[in-house]
Parts: sequence; structure tokens; C-alpha cells
Amino acid sequence: MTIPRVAPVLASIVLAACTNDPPACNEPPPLFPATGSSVTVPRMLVTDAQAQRVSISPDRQFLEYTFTRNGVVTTARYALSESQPAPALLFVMVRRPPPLTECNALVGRGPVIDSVEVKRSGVVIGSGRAFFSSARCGHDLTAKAEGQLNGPPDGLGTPLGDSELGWIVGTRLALVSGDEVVVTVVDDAGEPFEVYASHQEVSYDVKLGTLTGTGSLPVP
Amino acid sequence: MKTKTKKQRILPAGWAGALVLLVTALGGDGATRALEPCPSFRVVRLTGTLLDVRQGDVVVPNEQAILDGVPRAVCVSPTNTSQPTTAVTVADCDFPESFVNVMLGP
Repeated sequence: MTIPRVAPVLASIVLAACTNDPPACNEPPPLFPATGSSVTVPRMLVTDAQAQRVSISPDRQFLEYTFTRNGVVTTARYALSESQPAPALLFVMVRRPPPLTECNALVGRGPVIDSVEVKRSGVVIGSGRAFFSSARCGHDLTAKAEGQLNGPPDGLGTPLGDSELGWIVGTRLALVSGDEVVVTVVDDAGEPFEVYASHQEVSYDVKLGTLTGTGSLPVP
Repeated sequence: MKTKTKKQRILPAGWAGALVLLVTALGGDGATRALEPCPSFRVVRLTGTLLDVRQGDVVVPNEQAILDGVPRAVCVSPTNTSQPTTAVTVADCDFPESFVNVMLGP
């Protein structure tokens, strides 16, 4: 007899709980950035910029940023859209292709890397310092790697060994499509290694290719 | 006098427990939703892609301008995302620590 007595109570509680739900939210109105021209700018978008001025066209199609630096007035014009910006590729990474063998078996093995450089239109724009990009074999993540890996090629290298390495592209520099990543290797062991462009110090985001010695790879 | 069996005593207690659990689950869910107010606005963020750079009448190659620190992309958003405002934040999308807050007027 218990179940029939409880059933109406249960039904009424369920009904009450359901009807007390708050109504679903309606689509909120969009909040766009304002349009017009700026009158004050307290910070800097570009280093050492003065007399900065921003204007956004009434149709939000264009933005103009004007600034003065070293007495020169510069105006940069941008096309606006609602698309998300692509993540900046700030690092070049080098590692062995999988499958990886035990750390002990990799110690001292080539390739012996001299340098990693970034070229834009044939001109070197970055050859930053190297760091460990993996802690797989006990290295301190993001700690500075051997100094011989930094800077332009000088004939002195360090074996990749059991490391996975990263290089900072440069100060306030991100890779752009068409850049070239040049890896200089000073041994002829022919050990393959993969080269990546990455957004973070510990990620491997865009594979540029596999090399077995000195070579260059384009950024797509 | 009629005495209740052990089974008769346990059944109502079980149903009461189930009811408490049910009400807690339904009520708790509703309460959570009630604590989250509907958003007032859908904030629209814009991305600016560098078209060209000029110094007076001279067009500077974009590559050189970017190397000189001009952002290749700017991220544009209302500074205050809870109400309409004339304040706009313009940041370097690649290095968002570089930004300006501007008050826009006609």
C-alpha cells in the first residue's frame, strides 16, 4: 500500500521542481567595439610610440593606427573582421621522430646542432637562445640549454642526445608564412630530426618537416 | 493492536530517502541555473589584419614595419564588456601585453 500512497506526492514534487526552472536565456544583443577616433591613449601599442591615435570606420571594416616615433609619423591600416587571430608561432622546436628509445641509449647521439636561425626574405631575423622543451629524460623544462646552441652558426655544436629543444624566434618576433627556418648541423651522422613551429614553449604545433642534416624549411 | 512488520517500516523510509535525493537533484540544478544570470551582451571581438603602412606619402613594406614593431594583427574589443562604452582596447594579437585603451568619439 505504500507505493500508491507516495506516488501522487512524488508526482507533485517532480512537477513543482520542473515548473520552478528559470526560463532559458534569449540570445543577447551584440556588443561591438565603438567606432570613431580616439582622443586619449594612455599606453603604447608600439614601443616608444608617441602621439598615438586610433580610428575605427563607422562600418567597422577598417582601423587606422597612427603614431610618431623618432619624429616620423607612421600610419598602419588594418582590415577588421570577426574571425579569430591565428595563434602566434613564437618558437622553433627540434626533436627526434617517434618512437623514442630509452633515454640512456640517446645520450651523446647526434645530430650535433650548431644553430637555428629564422630568415625573412633571405635575411636572418632571429637566432634566439635554446631551451629544453621536454622533461622526458630529466631535463628542467624551459631551462636554458647549452650555450653553443644559441646565436648564429659558429662551427660549435651540441648533440641533440636525449633532449627535445626549443628556440625563441626573437624579441617580440613571431614566425609568419614564408619565413625560413634554417638548422645548421655540424656532424654527418645523418640522424633524422623533426622541426616544428610552436605557440608555446612546450608545444609542438606546426610540423615544418624532417631533416637529417643542415637544411632549411619554410613556414607554411 | 496491529503492529508493523520490519518490511513495512523500511519501505516508507526508503521512499522518503529517494524523495530527498530527487528533490535535491532537481532543486540543486535549478538553483545553479538561477545563480547564473543571462548575459546582457554577446561581446564581439574584432581582428585587424595589417593592410599597409605609410610614413607620409611613402609606403613602407609590411615586412619591415612588422620587424619595426608594428603589429601584424590587432585584437579589438570593447574595454567594458558589461555595458555599451566608447572605450575600446586595441592589443597586439601576438603580444597582448602591448595594448592601448582608447576613448572613441565622432
